[in-house]
Amino acid sequence: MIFGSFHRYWSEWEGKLDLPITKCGAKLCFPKALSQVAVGNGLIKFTPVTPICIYKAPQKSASRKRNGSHMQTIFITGDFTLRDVEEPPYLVSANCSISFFDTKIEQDGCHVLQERDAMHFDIESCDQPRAFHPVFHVQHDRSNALIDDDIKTLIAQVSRSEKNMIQVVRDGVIGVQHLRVPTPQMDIFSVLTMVVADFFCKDGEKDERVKQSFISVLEQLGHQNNFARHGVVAEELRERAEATYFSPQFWYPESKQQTRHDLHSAGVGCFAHGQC
Amino acid sequence: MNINFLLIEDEADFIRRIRDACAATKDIKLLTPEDVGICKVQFDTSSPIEEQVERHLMQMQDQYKIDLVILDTDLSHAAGELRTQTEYRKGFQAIGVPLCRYRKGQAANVIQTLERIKRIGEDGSSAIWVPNNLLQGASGALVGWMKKVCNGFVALSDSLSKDGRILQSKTPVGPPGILAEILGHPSLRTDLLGYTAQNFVYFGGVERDKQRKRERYVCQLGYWLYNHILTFPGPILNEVASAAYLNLTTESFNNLQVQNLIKNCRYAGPFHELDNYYWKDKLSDVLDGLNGDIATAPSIKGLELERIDKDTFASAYYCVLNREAITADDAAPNPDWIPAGATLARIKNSDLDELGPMLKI
Repeated sequence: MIFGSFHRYWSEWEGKLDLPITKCGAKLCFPKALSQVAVGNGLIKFTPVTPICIYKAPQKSASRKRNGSHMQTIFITGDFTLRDVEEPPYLVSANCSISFFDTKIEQDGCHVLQERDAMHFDIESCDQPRAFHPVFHVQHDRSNALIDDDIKTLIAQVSRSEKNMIQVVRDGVIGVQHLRVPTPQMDIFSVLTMVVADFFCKDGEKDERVKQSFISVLEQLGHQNNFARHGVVAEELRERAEATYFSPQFWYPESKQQTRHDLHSAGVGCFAHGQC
Repeated sequence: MNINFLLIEDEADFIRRIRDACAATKDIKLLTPEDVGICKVQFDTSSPIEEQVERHLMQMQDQYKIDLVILDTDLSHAAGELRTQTEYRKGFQAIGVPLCRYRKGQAANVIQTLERIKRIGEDGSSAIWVPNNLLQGASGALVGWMKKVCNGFVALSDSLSKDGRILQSKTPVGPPGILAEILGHPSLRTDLLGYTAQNFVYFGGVERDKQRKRERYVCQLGYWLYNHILTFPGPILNEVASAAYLNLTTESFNNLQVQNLIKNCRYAGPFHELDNYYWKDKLSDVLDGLNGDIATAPSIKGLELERIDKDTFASAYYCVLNREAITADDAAPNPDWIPAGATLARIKNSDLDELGPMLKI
């Protein structure tokens, strides 16, 4: 499989995100490309060459305030690992980190970025399930991939100032780091969609343009060239969760080992087909 | 078809050159303010001059049916005989007559291009700028260009007349919806929204009165399409930008075998004669069938293609200042005045460094 269309798909995202983001007075700095590295076993890892940066984002969607204390910068990093095969599913594992920095511009033009929150989304590889890890989950956590020097380079670029005019402060404790909350399949594309919905759809109910631009983001997320949309893990989850209800129990790899009795009492169909 | 141009200019020599070039075309009639009686008009103090100029131009338009006005920016030699270019521009905007304007004696360097582009942002809603290189060359090229511009407005006008419902129906997204309908490309509606994010003053005045509503709408759609959508490549790409999108040099792009692969992607809507334009989404469909790279097409196997970016899967971009293809690495983050929908439009980093203080980031 040649993933040329996936590289193209990546660069199309910038145009989809630019409208809602610039409309809110924020600025998007989107990585120019995905790097592609073969990691063995017929797997290829794709990583954006720089973090995604959204500068001067409002702190909440409804906020019109854009002064120092109401402005934030959002950084998103992550990667995708795809199987080099002819047919989907391609996605084997992925992760995505999002960090929020309160952003202040001092009188002398210095930028001060104070870390406020950071989250890490994981799509576990199904070949190596980790005990008690929901297959898709989020937890409060800093990303090691987001280093201060990258932050300074990006902010200097987007604000056309110098790196020595940018200060990054990361001193607070970030939430409860050890809780893994089961989520849907959240990769970089899904996280970007979430960010647009929650920060950049201001007055969306009234403004048809906002609605249209969000619809185009959703269409982009589900686009056929999104080789990450169809994952091995999701496929497995779907098989496990072939149930009358959609319980987070199936998110945990241990649910494979539940006894038949448990399953019947839980109102679940037989999934160990052939063993019944 | 007979076309009427009105040239508002104060230099006799320039008028004569244009008149000769028009005469050579057989179908273009060149009129001057003197011919149509808007010279040496006396205005009274009963109402604002602007209103009187508008009324006057309206009477003139009813009689002479001007298809395109060509307006010099500097009319100072004709003080007392002609009004200022601003008054004419506003007048023709109000009554909906397409207008091109120019300023003579400007060099075509990066700074001038920047000035021109900034002007588009400021008053691109009332005129199309004549490219500087056409003012210096033979007048035949200039007249040919003006005729193509005129055809663009006529095409827009025809589409609006053909389907009167387009203006009646209240499309929820306004001008993007209307233009998407005229161009027969419904998916364009969302793409064009990106050209409305910034100062969207274009369509404000349209509902002011019912009279000449269609004419005014034609002008405004035309200015919007040409000055913004076609100038800053996004859904519709000029030749250089199309080549960049395929990551090919213009020369490789124009190779007949390559052209064969994309012949169905040509844009044939209003103003298509002014460049070789292509639909980006149609080019994208072609690439999707070829794993993201045109060079993998079986029909051009072995053909040597020259790339802009050596990474074959990359898309290159279009620098709006130099009008040349650049790699993603050479592109700077876009300043605010580049429309969000202009996905291929960039500025070269080195140009931005040079011009930095002049550009509003």
